[in-house]
Amino acid sequence: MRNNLKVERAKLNLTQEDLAQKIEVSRQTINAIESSKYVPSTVLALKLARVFKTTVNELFELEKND
Amino acid sequence: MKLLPNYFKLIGFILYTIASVLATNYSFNLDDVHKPAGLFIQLITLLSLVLIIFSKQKIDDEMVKYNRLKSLQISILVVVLLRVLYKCFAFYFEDDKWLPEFQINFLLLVYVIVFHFLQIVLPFVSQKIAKLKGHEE
Repeated sequence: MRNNLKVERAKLNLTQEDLAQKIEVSRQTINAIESSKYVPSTVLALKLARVFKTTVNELFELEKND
Repeated sequence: MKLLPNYFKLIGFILYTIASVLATNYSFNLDDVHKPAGLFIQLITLLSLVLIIFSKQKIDDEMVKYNRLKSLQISILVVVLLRVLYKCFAFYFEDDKWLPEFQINFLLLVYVIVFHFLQIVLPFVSQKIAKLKGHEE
């Protein structure tokens, strides 16, 4: 699974720490999601989409081998 | 699952240190059934490990939950493999001092180590590696 969290974050000029505080997770979690080491739950994905005012489909994308 | 507040972890670590000091200075066998002090020390050890395991992290999010499950899986695997290995050693050397004597404490201890490795060491190392890669580009 691919994600463009980093790009969206840059658009809003947010650090990992800022984003983490907004959705009440640790900075390590944001870092792990961005580097595709951790797949967030549906709830967390929806929260992320709400922060960026977009949809989950825009944030996360399936890859061929998924 | 309901967990204890974060400060119980500190209490757990303090208790564990006390229990370790007591156990190393204890001159009798801890499992000597005629001396209740041995039971007392073992119970403090067990309690302290349980407190550490069942207390929340500072920020307790879903990745922490995931790490808890993962470390339980890893620690069970590690303990089983070590037991099998020790037993094989005992039979190979025909010496019963190799026979494994680890108890539930050992499983909990391995769990605590693996969990803190996943929570603290691994993110730290991967971040350093990512930074190094960033400098190269």
